[in-house]
Amino acid sequence: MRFRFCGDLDCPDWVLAEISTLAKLSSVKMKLLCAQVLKDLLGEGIDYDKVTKLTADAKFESGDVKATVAVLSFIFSSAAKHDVDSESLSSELQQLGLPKEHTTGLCKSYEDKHSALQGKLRETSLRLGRLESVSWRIDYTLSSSELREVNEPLIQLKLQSQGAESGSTETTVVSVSADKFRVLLAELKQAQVRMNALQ
Amino acid sequence: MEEVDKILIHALKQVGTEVSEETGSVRQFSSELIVEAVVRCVRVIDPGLGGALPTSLPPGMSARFRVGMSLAQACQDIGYKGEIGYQTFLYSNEPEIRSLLMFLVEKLPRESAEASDQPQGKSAVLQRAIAAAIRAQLSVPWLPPNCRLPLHSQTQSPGALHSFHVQPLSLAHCSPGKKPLKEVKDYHRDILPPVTAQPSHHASVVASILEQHTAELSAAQEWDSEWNSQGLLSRLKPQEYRSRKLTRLRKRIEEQLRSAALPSPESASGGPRPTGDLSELLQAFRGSAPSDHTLTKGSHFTHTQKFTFTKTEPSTSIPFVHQSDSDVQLRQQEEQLSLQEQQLCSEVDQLTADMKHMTVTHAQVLDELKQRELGNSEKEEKMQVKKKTIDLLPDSDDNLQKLKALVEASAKRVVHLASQWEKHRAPLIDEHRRLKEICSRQDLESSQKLSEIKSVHDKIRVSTEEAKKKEETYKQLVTELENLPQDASRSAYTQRILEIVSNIKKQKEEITKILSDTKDLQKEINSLTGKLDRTFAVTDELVFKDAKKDESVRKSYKYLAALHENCNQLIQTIEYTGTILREIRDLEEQIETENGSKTVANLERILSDYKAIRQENSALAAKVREG
Amino acid sequence: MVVLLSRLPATECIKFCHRVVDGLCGREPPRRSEHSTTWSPEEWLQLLDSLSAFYRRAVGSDSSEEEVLGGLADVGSSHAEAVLSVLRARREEIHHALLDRTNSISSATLQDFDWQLKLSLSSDKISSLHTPLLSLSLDVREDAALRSVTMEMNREELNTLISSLEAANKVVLQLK
Repeated sequence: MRFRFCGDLDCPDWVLAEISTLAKLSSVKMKLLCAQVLKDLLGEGIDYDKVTKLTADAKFESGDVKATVAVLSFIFSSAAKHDVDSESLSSELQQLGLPKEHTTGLCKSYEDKHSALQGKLRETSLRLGRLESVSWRIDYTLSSSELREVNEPLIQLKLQSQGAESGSTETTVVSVSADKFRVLLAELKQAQVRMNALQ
Repeated sequence: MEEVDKILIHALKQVGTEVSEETGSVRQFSSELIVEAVVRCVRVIDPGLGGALPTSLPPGMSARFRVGMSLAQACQDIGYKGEIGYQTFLYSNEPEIRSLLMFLVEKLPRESAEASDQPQGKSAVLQRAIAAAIRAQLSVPWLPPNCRLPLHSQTQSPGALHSFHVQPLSLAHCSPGKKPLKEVKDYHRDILPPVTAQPSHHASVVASILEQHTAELSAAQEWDSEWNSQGLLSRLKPQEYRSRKLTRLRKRIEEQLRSAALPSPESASGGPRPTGDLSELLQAFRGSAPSDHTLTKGSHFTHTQKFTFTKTEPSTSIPFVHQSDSDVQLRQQEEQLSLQEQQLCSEVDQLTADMKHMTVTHAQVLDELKQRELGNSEKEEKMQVKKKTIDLLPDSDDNLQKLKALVEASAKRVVHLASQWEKHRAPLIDEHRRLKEICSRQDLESSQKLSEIKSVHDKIRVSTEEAKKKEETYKQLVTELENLPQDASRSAYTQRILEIVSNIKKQKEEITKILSDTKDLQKEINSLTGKLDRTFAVTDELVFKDAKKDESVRKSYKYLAALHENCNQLIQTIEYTGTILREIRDLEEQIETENGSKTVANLERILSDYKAIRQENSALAAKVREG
Repeated sequence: MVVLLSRLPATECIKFCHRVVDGLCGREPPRRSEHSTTWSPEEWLQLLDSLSAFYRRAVGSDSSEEEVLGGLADVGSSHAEAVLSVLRARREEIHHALLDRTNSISSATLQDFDWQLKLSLSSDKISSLHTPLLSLSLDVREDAALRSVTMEMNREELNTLISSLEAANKVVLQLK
């Protein structure tokens, strides 16, 4: 069997196994659990006390709790990754043996957060360096040891960029001559035009 | 039928069936071609269903039979209502195949065709292009580096990568208006190497040229926009505008420098001297700032002077130090000397500071002196006036008279001059007014022209933008056009459709004509039969009445009845003949269709196929027996 | 030390001076192998140094031709004329090179830059990303060593960069 929410691949065995664990929860509790997992995926943090409270009824061991959280995160992130609509997700989960009420609850929460989840995934995709801030200063050179009368502006640029490894901020301070600066700006504008033409 | 077949063949070609150019109608389709066409259609309509079907007929007869069966099943699954079986494919007859193919072509999904008709904007085109490129790259097999053709080197070998490195170039520019010096011309003609030979690496030639070009282009653009926005309004020539901007800028910088230098007059810059302009101020900086080149040179000089001066002492004392032979003393002496040196240095610094201070005070004193001198000259003038009055005092009356006369004369002269002035003034004022008017008119005109120029500039910009946009859309449309399927032009299709429609109309008219004819005939027949019935009834009544009385009439009545009956029979027979004729025609048609479906040939083929199957079976049985 | 120039014939001299100016402007300087018979190694170095220093000084302090000729008093008149004509021909170029040298007094200067526009199609997080990214690489010269700084920007980041550079450019325009 191939499932769209698994990227047109077979469903992993562990997911299959844990779906039966999910079925032990009541559908209302599972919907609340879904909300917690979605919060975690959206970077708002998960409240583990609530999670254990929610799963207390079903007499889950800590391993089961972890497994349910893991399987829900897998389902949500994988479905969002492959841009599966909630209807298809619902039918596929039912094929995998999740009861209908559970499925509708899960898919409802998924549908609500679908775009937010995709936005988050898009944001956290691999990027080599992000530009954080730009500061500039313009000096006017009057004279130098090389040239008695210079009278040219000189631009000092400070670019703060996040390195490929997250967290490390690189600061580049560089002085740019007026000519180079003009070329840089013109080229960047051209790039912007090209970029805007892409969408 | 030909039109239909053409459309069918075109659709089949689009699906991927290889129909040769010669085949122009369905009649010419062989069994293989039919099977291929049907399988391809089924695959497009339902990939799951068609995936298992082979596109060509296998050689074995029984296998062919099975393929035919499964194909027929697939067609029925898709929803074909007509009669279909293995015989449809193996022993084809034209109308059946045509109806089956028409059904399949109608079932073909429209989206793909529509999508290729109208791509949704640029991004869709781009994405399709990306997909096509990736597919093409994936389809090229990997080759070891030394087997690669130029075709592969694009995608498989990294190639020679050069970072974008720019070197300054020297280009012969012809700036308008300025004649280049003779030396410059000579240089450009005789010595300057061509631009490709100028950079040290060949790879940076392009980069350098590109960057130089962009730099000049962007500079020109910026100047253009600035000139259009501000320069034009200032009503100056470009050069004047530039120089004025430069002087203004210099003034600003000068002021700022001065205001920065003023609050700390005792700091190193001896700035607050009343200097004329920026260059002088800069000179002042150069002359006095300690960080400056010339001054460091000067201090170096003084330092070295000190050094040479102090060095003499140790050199004379060295023998003495040797004699006493005590390091401590030497060190002490050194320390002393260095202390002394430091002291001297600080003294020198102080002296220079003092000197500066002195120069400042000197300048101030000079200023004061000038002011005093000015005051002096004023006072001297006053004194002279007073001296004259004192000289005139002794002979006061006479002098008074004289003065009065003088005053009167001068008053008269003033009046005279005033009248004369008035005379001159009036035309002058008129002239002045006139000129003023002209001036204002010219002003108005020039401002009008300016606004015109501005609007023209705006128009130019807008139209260039428009032109660009239009060009882009044109390009996009051209690419779309290229992507469209080239065969079967739309107009031909529509023309054909129109022709077909008109044909149908004609046929319909004919049919209605025939129908009305038949109706008329029917009506006539009806009326005639009615008339006949009525006449018969009347005659019957009349004759019946008379028949009671007369024997001969009774006989005639009998004849009448017999006649009527016979006539009825006749009519019935005619009708019967008509139906039979119709049936005959139907049957003839049927025979024709049966003839069209190549029954005899098909039967022969069936027989031969049957024989083949039997042979296969017996061969298989023999094999089984052998095995 | 410009005296050494008189060992060359005057016509050669012009070419040689142009090569020296080429070296000053960041292109290929003359090679010693071409003139190894004319000057000894020390003389060669001295000549090159003094000639380029001479040109730098002449343009840098904006000297008049009389002053320049005064500096060349010990060279023959034809040679002095040659040196001067090269100066006249290349004054603007030398000026430009000196501007570059002035600007490169700073600790880190932008030598070159390059950009590349990419459309990222997919990532491990999401199957259809379709985000355009601009990677900008700056070659920064720091104490004679080249350092490459690369960053990837999306649309918003590029917009902020451009808008702040635009603001800077407005100020630069006022200063021109």
